[in-house]
Amino acid sequence: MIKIHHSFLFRETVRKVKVGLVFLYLAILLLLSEQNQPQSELFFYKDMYTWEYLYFGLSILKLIGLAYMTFLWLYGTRWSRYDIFLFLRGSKQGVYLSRLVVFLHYTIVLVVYSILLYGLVFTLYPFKLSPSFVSSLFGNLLLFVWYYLSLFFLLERLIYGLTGILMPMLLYITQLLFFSVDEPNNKQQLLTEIIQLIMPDITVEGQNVKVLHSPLIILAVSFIWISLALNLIKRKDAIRTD
Amino acid sequence: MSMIKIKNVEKHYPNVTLRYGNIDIYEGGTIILGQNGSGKSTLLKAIAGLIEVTGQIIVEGSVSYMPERTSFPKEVSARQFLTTLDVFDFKLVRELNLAKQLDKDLYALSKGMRGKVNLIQCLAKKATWYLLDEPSSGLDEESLTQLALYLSRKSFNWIMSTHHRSRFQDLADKVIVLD
Repeated sequence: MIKIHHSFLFRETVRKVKVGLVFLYLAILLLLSEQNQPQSELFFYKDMYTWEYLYFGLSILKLIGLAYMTFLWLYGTRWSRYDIFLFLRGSKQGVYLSRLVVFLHYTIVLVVYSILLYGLVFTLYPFKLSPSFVSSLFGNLLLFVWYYLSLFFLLERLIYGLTGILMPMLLYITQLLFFSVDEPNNKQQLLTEIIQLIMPDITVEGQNVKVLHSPLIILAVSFIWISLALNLIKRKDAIRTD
Repeated sequence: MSMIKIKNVEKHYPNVTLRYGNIDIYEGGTIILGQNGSGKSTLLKAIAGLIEVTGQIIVEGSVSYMPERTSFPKEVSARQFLTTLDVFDFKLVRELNLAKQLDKDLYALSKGMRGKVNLIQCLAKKATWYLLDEPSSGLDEESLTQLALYLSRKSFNWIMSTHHRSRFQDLADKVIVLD
């Protein structure tokens, strides 16, 4: 089933969008790196430049990852529709879960390329990134991708139409605008924790990766979304008949 | 001998409930007739396991299904489509005059040609039962004649919903009329 999804999904448009996003990210990173600044200034404001690059580079990476997931979901469920031919070759849940695995694979590939660029462009600075930061960031980004794909999986089943597919991206941007992991004040603390449980975020502080909830909690919530989605799939018709 | 047993099957839609009662379908060819909205396609989808119904449907053996109207994957040729689904049957492709169009994108093909691809993906799959949902709505006249010839030559179990009673009635062992 995974092989069939891959054959039908990894088409020219998907490849072009992936390459386009990678180049767009590279261009943004080069702009962020401010290489026109004199070396002395870069050294003098080392912490500030490092933080700016790491923080904004990561923010853009997350948005690019989410944009790619949204595109994949639109392409694979709305534009290129072939599910009916698979339902007789496997269970309904199997058809949807295998597509989720394929989307996970594609998004991880994009994230790997992006992290490599993130690290590569940083080498233009006269200072170094700590390897533990890169590995921690990579691990957390994989979790981020997995979590948001599980949310896509649920919302696409729960809300029919484009809204369900656009919702994760919109919710993420909304939480980004109103809540931050960085500086929640006392009043916002509880609300931020709840929001971060549903729309988790990763950010950087110095050269440390910062997430509000532990990976286990995020994984647990993602499995709840997947269970709910599978339950919905089981109860509903495989194809619309009205 | 394989058979399909339909026991007190009902499909509830928001505005209408389709009731099928008890139907036994035996080996050979079966035609399902009925007016628009009588539930011909719904019955085939229920037998194929594509929709949830109340009651019981017992299918002895496996099924292959040709949907009435369907979408195809984008940016995929007819050959890639059939090969990926492991149903590439060149003999059938030739019989249906699709050989020259095989490497064209599915969406560059005419509706009739896509109907042929749809028919091939159903007939080339090894199954006990072949469910053909209104093939006349997706196939041109020539293809329908070829389909009728194909059904007359082969001894397999097929169930077809159709409005073309005259064309297929002689080939069928049983006719089910839904009202």
